[in-house]
Amino acid sequence: MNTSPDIGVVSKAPARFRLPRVPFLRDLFRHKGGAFGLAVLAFFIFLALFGHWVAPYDPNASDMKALLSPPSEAHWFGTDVLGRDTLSRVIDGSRIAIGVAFISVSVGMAVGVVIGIIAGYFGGIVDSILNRSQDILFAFPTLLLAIIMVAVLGPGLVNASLAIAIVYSPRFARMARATALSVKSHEYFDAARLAGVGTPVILVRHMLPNVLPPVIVLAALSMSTAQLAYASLSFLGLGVSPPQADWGNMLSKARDFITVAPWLVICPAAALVLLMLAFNVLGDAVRDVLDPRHTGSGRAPETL
Amino acid sequence: MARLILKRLMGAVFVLLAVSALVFAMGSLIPGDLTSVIVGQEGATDEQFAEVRRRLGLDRPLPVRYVSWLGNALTGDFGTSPITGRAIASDLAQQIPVSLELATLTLVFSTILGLPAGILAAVHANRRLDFIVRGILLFTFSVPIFVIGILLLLVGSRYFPGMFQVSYVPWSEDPMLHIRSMIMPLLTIAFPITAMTMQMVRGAMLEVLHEPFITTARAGGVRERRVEYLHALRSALPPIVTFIGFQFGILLGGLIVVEQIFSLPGLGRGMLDAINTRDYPMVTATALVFAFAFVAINVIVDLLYPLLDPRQR
Repeated sequence: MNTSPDIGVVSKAPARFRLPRVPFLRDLFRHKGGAFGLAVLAFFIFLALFGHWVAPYDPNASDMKALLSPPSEAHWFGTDVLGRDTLSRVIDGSRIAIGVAFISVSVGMAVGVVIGIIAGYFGGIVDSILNRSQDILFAFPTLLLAIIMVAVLGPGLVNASLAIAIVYSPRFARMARATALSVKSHEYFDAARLAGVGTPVILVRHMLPNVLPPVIVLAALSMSTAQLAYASLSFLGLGVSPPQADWGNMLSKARDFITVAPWLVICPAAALVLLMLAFNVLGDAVRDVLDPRHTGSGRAPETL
Repeated sequence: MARLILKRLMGAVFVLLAVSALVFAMGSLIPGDLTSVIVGQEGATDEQFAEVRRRLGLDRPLPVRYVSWLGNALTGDFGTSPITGRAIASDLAQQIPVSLELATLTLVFSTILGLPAGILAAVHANRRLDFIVRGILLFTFSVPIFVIGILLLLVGSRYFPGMFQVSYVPWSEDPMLHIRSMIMPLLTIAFPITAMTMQMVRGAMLEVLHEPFITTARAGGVRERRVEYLHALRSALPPIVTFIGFQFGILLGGLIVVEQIFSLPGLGRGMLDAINTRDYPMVTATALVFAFAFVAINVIVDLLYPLLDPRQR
């Protein structure tokens, strides 16, 4: 007869996700897509941080003797209509591309996780109000919603990032809420409450570590579309203000000179596609590593 | 059935109301409203500001303004743009057909091309044809639509200058030129949309092709083509149609970008112009039209579902 109660035997959350620690990075490097994605991303982060020293020219300095000059030894990817070096501007633009992707996804994730945990933990009216309002946001196509947000907030780098963060928060809230609900049904959770642990401590110590791993996977998968959404906004003229170089913006300008200076398109387009590919592949790799049970590669894009 | 329709319509109306209220409220609350755009920031006295505010009705409380705006909008009157001085409704009436034409053409084109391609990929799953199809998919997921558009513009203007008409010509002026002006925008947006349809059809078909009734049909001697295109497609159809509703949302976002690339005078371009000139009444109106289009297509899809899938009735 077993009379001893199972105190101290912590029932584990389903071992579906592991917290990202060092083995996580090792697994990511072993994943063939992950290694490629990390390498490309590291390259762009390097450009973003140290581009100032790497770039051959000042990204905003115009060379009046070389307006719209084709690719040459002095300017590898040519110059634009103001005589600014395309390569330098692309390098400078990587700061914006990387920064916006990370910041908007992180802000969206933080907001979504807080909302999701509150909704999942407290339930009741809070849950249904949050759910309803999130449903409305969730129903809308990403880019359209982001454009409407920027329309209302006004164009600009900060507003565009903010709009993307707002647009991305519901998906994080959904995932956090679902995980929070499942955590609530576990015995260790009841044990903590019965032991008199306060609500804030429970939320931070017991809820958050369980909620984070699936949310991190989602964040990794969202990076590429967030970057794309920002590039689209910037292409539409809703991103950074003029002198600052930015890939979407550069492509939009290049469009005006497409017949006389086709080289203006090559460099920003290549950078954009390469970074997106890296984010895509890396997102899949993070999911494969953290969530090995997931199979199949099909996932739908949210923006064009 | 009638109850289901009613429920869906109520839900759609609720979403539209919420979106319109949100857009209207946010447009009204941000600092630097219409008055400062019209009067100009410097040199205007407080009386002038108050006068303009009164003329625009901005001195009334927000909910009152919203209700009166909504009442007018329901009758098709969105007011007059303070920037262009034209009636917003008449601008919309010119812009909507352009966008609608492009959206409809895209959906038709992508379905005609994507459906058989997806079936083909599913039937040849994990063989060479399938890999080619999926390779194209990976490419489209990583190439933004505006890059596709610009590349097409580059190739078109360089190698086929006569083939592509770049600036927009209305149908009523010259049908041939109109078709030529629509080719490139259509190709640009149809490319990724077709790829998505293809992927969706492939997935839905793969699931169905393993069902027992397919084996039964094959065993019964039904011709392979007939099995693929009739038996399997018929039961793979409901998720595909649902997906087209989802796709429409992506298409709307893409329309804005494509109209900007090819200077099509559609709704998306109208919205962007309005954003850049801070023409809030116009922004609100175009945003509402987009929201309406998105909600409407999803209601239609939801209502089609029980027709396609008898189990849902």
